[in-house]
Amino acid sequence: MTTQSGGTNTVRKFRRWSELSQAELAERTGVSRQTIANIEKGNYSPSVYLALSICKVLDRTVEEVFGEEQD
Amino acid sequence: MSYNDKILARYDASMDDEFEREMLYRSIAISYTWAIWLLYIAFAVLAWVLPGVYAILVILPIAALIIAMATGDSWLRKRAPYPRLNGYSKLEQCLMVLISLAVIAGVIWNLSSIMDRDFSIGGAIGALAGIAASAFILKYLTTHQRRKDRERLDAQLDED
Repeated sequence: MTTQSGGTNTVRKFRRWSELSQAELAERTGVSRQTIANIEKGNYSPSVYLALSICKVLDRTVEEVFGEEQD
Repeated sequence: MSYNDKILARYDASMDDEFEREMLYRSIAISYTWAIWLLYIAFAVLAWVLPGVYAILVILPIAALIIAMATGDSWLRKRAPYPRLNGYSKLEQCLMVLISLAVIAGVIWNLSSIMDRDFSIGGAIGALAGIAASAFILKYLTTHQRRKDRERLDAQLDED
């Protein structure tokens, strides 16, 4: 579990592209909606396992979602 | 920056990376649990060794512990729901009840010489009822609180 700021990511963008709500993404990855919301806001850095799970659901690579170079 | 933020910044800065930081916070959870057990025992000892009316002063450290726990809970509940109460063994539950009984018995025994007997008995019955009730409803209350917190926090989220 990491609690420091997670910086920017594109979880929200790709989640919306996948037409998923925060609650749906949370359910599919086995976490709470609060966790997804805080990852999207950059308040929380997910573990490698959760990040991979999110990327799998969004059908994106880790670099696309959490990489340093994002749109 | 609030004092709570300063505490967290100080703890974060005391470690070099996220693994060390996680281990630190886990060790604090262990320390916290031990501190509570040892404080409970200290309350019981104080309730018996403080003479006469001074036994009532055991309320001071109990109040300090309650305020400290409430401060942490308040910080947590702005960010995540209240933790569920589980994982306590029968032995731990029995110990908690026994220590609580020892605290109450100590205070009442010390006050019995200066208090009306009926008042002492009434106080003892009230305290016992409180312990029994809390043992039964605490799990329900924390589960209920957790659900309410989750609903409140979800309602505060930005548009989905």
